[in-house]
Amino acid sequence: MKTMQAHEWMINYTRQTEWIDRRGIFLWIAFYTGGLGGGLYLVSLFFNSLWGMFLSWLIIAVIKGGAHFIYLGRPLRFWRMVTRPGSSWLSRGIIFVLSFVVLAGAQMAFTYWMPGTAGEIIFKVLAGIAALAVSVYTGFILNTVKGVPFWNSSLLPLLFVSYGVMSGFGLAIVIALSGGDVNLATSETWSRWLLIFNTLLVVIYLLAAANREATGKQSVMEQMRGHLAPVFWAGIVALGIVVPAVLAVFSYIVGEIATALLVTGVACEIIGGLSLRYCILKAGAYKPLVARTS
Amino acid sequence: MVVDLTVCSRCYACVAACRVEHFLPMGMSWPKLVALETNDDHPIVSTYSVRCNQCQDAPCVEVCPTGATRQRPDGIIVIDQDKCVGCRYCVVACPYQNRTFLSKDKDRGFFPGKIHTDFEKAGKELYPHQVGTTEKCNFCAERIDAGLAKGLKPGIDREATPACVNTCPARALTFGDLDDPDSEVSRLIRERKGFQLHPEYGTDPSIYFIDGKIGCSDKPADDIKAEKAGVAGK
Amino acid sequence: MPEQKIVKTTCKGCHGGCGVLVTVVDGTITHIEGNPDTPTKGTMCSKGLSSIQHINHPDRLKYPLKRTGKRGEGKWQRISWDEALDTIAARMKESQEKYGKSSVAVSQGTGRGYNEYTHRFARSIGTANIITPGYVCHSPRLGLYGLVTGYGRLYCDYHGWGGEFPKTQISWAKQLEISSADSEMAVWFLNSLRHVKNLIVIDPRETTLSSRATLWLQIRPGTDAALALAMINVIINEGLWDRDFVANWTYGFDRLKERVQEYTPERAAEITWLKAEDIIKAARLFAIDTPGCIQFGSSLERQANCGQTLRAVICLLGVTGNIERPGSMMSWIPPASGLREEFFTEIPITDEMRKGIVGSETYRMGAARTAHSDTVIKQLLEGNSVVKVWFSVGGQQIIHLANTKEVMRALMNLESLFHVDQFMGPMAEHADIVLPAAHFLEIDDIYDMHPRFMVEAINKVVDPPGEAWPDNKIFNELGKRLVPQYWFDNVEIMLDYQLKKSGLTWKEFSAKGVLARMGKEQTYYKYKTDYWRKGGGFPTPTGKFEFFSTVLENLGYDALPYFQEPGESPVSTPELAKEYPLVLSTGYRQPFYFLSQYRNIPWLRSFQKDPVVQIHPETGKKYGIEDGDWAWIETPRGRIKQKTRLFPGIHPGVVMATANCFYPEEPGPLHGMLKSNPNVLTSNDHCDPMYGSPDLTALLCKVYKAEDGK
Repeated sequence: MKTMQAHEWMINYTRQTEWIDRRGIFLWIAFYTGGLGGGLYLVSLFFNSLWGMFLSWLIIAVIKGGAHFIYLGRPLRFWRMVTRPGSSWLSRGIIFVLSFVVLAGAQMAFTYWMPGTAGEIIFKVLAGIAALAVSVYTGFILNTVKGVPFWNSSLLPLLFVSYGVMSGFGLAIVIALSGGDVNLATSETWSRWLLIFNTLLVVIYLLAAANREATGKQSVMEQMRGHLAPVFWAGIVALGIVVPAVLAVFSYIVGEIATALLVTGVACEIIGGLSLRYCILKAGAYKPLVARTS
Repeated sequence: MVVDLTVCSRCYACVAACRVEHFLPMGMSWPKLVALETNDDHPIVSTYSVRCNQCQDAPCVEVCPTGATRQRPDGIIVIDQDKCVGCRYCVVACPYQNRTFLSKDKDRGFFPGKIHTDFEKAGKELYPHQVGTTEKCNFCAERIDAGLAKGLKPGIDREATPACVNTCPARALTFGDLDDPDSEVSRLIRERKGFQLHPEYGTDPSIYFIDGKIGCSDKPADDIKAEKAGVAGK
Repeated sequence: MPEQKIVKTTCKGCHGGCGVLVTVVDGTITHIEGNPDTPTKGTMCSKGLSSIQHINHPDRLKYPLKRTGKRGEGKWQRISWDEALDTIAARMKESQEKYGKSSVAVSQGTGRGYNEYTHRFARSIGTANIITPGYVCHSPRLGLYGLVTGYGRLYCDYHGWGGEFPKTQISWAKQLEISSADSEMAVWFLNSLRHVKNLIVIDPRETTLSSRATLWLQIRPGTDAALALAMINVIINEGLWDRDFVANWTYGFDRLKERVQEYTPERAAEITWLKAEDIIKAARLFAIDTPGCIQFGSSLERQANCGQTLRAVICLLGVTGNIERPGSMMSWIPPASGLREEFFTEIPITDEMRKGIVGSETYRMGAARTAHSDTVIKQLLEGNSVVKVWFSVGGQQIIHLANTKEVMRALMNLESLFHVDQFMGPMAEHADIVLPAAHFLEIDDIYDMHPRFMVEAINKVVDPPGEAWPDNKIFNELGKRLVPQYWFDNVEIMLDYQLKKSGLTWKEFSAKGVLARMGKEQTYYKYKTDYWRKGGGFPTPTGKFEFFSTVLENLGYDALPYFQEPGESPVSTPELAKEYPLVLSTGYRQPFYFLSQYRNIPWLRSFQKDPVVQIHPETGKKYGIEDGDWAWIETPRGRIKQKTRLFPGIHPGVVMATANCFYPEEPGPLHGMLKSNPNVLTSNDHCDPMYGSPDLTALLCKVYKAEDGK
């Protein structure tokens, strides 16, 4: 710990800590599961997989909702959070989550008991919109934070959705392997394309962030060489990109690979997604309050 | 508020006065001192006494999902501690890092492991803090309101002026109405080229900083004499 | 309905002097802030505000304690006040009968209102062995100003009462804005900066003010006399001196002129590491843009060349006529109450007492009214000590005297050591009996400190914890046991007695709060009136401002100022400098600590947990020390570690260590005293010939990274 005089940190590179350190870990989980759950739901709509829908509903309603709830300083005042959708992306996000929980619940009921009805289709459309919103809003939450150059990118919402959908396809693979109502080959194909797309997105995102003032560059350097390097290289790059990519190439050539390997690939992708959110939250640093050069 | 960097000497009186005024728990600090020591061509030592900027276009108000953070008609941003859910979005969103979430570990007493002092006990009655909510400087809004109710003028009368401003031995802090062109703060900003921190965020902070040389070597001697005649003997 | 009252009192977080309003609800303090109706206009610093935590500190001493184990072992037993005071009185009596009156020493910390009591008590029992930090803080200037103004007080006229504020101010080895022992002066000084034309800062390191000053002279520590003499050289040789003042009111100008010829700006530049043109510029500004004043810091009094350094600075004031002029240096007329020190000067020091003063033969200026602390320590070590019984109040000599390790051993050789304090610090840990003292919010007393144009009431706000007593009561009760003829029935009568000149009783004064002589009630140009001398003049043997001091001449000192290298420096000890290449100054102060005080007050400690040493980034690079590292600082006496701040504002050849630090939270008896206290490094071997001041702020050292961290 090199801090000597209180608050001298404000003239240096200062990470945001509230949303990642200590209890902030719940927020990380909530953010990630939003993308994952939303993505999975969209994928499930694509396959019309009730299992997938149910799983995504659980992820959002239980894990994400629970994590949010636990994170709050005053959880019992939870309901107040929906009162400012006009200005607050968090308020909007909570409304999206609640809407999704209700709409997807209704949709699943329709799909289960009244498949093929107009109600099912309407709720599928509505819940789909809600799922998209759930996976995208965290991107807006971050990119509107003015003091953190690393987040000031319109790519962020896209990146979160895209990673969410990719993980959704990953989970779809698992559902397919467990004998669920999903087409394995299609999932694999989509998964591969999204992996390429996401890799490109991450590269572009980091390149762009590195050009967003000294602080943005420092956030990027922190990931490549600093404290976050292990998470970045092992989590995002090795497990999140290289391992799934090798497996994808391998299965593309061989045609069919062992289930265990496929599951490993999916697990790695999920770790990659978690690592990505982790790094983005953890590397988010404020511009110095007072510049060193005056 | 205007902060004069020429005389702020990093004495921490403003921080201490705030702790007294608001019975702050040990882990909480509303004003902060930012120490800046540069060596570009000639070393410069500065201390920025910072606190909530009471931005006129405040990101915290925008992001607050509950409406707990709001702007009063006089421009002060206040937090309704009874409405805050502790989501910390405002803490993250404040580009000036001037909001603090009162977590359990920040709510420690003066002397850990010992019983609370009488002052702390009194504070729990007079100025209760809610663990799990976010706090920040409120320009001593309670003091201002009480003073206004007595017909006093903020920035002129102590009872209607923030505690940090009153206590500053260097008189580096000046408080007043930015909308009044004749107020001392408006004059200082105008005459001494007041600047806001990070105006590029577009938040329009209500705290300005002024800096410059000490001494009036460049003023004509007659001006100095006139000035002295005006002040001397007071 | 809770009972609420607001008590007006005077803060003594440092020497004190700031008016304070304390809100008390049902006996509990709920608020503290400055009192706008006092000369400090309602301002207060962090130390005073943190009194709220101080008074409720769980570690406060509440009862008299008697040591039951070996000295320093930390075994204590609670005793009654009667037993404590009876024992102390008996031991003092016994020692005085056996070894002589001077065998009892009374010591105090810096002036905290007990000055009058320590001195009166000592004199009343027939000893003048009073151990104070005065010789490294303020006493030398009182004595040397005294050669000019009689009672020895010259202060910067920050007030404009004479219609002018200082036009040129020199802040010399001083940060009055934060490290003033009298915080009220900081308020006045900062206010006066709004009217200043030129501010000249002389400091080895950059400060907020020096960054913005007209001129900043980054001087080598310990060479201030060379600078002052070179400035006089410029002023005289360029014909810029104050013709009227020098011709009519001074003595020895020609001899001074002759003396300063050897101090050319070029030679001084070499000595001081400054540029000759900057020295010339400073001299011209100060001589031309008058009136001016010089606020110097006690760093100049913590050097073994202190006496002549101050003489040189005072002569600089003389040649520019900056004495008694509005906006220059003023000797304020005391308020109606008179000088509070009359409370002890009314008991004169007898020849017998003078003979018994330790160090009086060597340090003829300093050890005339008080003992020379370092000689007391040396005698204790050598086994030929005059002092056998030591009664200590407030200050912790074990921390603030030079060469801590020697002081520790010396204290073990005392027959008796008694200590009065609010907390169990390293000094108390070595005592035989420890008495609990009250805080300023818990006492009735009279404030007066340096500027001396006002006295203020310190009014009791709350009761002290347990059986803690105010210092004045402790002295009175102990005095009554030994020499009742000099002491009083109770404290109130004693306070009435001190106020007798003012015609007020304590109760009346207490309600009034402040008794000050300000504005038109002050007289400028007193040397042109009958104030000091009928027909005008100064209260000196020649009746003039003496550049050539006849008093010093008679005492066998050089009557004209000269520069002498510090006892250790790259110039005076080049061999030593090979091993210890950096100049060490131990003058770094934090505005929220007062000397060794307040590191146990949570609010204040939160501002800076660890002691910091300032090192230039280049120097840090050279010795492999990074910002935030713990660094060893080593001198021939030992080594300490402090946390490094790589600071571009310090001279690359200078290291600035935080003074007087220990760790109250660490276990006794030492409380981490040897870990970071720079007095482990300082030397008591070379002392100023006049005052005996040791080199505390100009030494040699080396620095290297503390690998183990902390």
